[in-house]
Amino acid sequence: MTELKTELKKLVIDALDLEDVTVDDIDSSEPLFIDGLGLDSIDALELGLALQKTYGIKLAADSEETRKHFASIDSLAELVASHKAA
Amino acid sequence: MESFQITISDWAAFSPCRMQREEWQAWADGNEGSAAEAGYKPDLPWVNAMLRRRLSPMGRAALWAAGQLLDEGRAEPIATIFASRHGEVGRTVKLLRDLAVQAPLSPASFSLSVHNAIGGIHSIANKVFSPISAISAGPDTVCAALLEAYTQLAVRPGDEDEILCVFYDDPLPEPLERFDLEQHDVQALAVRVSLAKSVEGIPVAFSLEERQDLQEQAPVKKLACADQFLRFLLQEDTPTLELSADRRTWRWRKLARTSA
Repeated sequence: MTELKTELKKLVIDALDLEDVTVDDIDSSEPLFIDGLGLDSIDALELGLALQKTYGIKLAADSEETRKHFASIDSLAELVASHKAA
Repeated sequence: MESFQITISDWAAFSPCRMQREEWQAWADGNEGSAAEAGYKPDLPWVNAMLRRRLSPMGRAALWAAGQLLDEGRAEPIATIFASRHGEVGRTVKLLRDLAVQAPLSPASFSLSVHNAIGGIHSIANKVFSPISAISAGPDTVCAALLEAYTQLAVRPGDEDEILCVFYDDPLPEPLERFDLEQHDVQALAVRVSLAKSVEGIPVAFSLEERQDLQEQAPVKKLACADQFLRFLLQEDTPTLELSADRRTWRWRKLARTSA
């Protein structure tokens, strides 16, 4: 799981052009959007695309479910892990 | 023929090779000691890092040039005009390539490929509430933006008003580069435009006329309009500039400085 979280942090940094942010700067439990890392709605769409390209995960653009998955690196890791297991 | 008078009260220009005033002056005078090296990167400390990451190198150049003319001591421009012939053409080409192979489009790239994207980021970063427009007018782009500045100023009562114009363009990327007829030494140029004759700066007049010689001409690569305009401003002994676009010719001439 730690490995997957590091992988997801790298994905977030690369897909969203987070210059000056390193893997160590991102706390797995902190919010990705608005507070915490400070991502915005365009980032949400971009991240959705990156998940689709990398893991084949398709998410509805504006569902309560997606919001939960996008809350933090921890929740994203759970999503990807369960998708891999399925 | 009717002519319009404006004063360029200040300017700033950026390219990876030149950013200081003296460097541009040497460029305009043909006095550069050695070939300029591409080592400059625009530093934009006033743009929040989360916004800054969205800007292309050209977008950064444009906001850097604009930022040089927005000191705290100076009155805010009443409007800002962003003008680019091709805009974020690098992003557009990438999006078109993705479309061609039916790959999903990057939402961030799409949102930043629109013509007013750089102006939008400028307005957020600098908390600008005055009007911002984004102009593209083919080979007339630079002159059309200055005409737009003139008209916006002309309908206002305030003599002290100024408008900020920001020009930016990159060379056309592959596979469009063979259509590029402009050589770009200037990546971004910002000028403050005023109608007041009393203001310090370079007073100029311009007029435009339809071209009569519209027969096909062999395309020749020449210095981009922003570059020619900056050269005209900086070369002391150059009194006039003629910029011919497809259908129009814009004639510029320097006016005597009232303070001199």
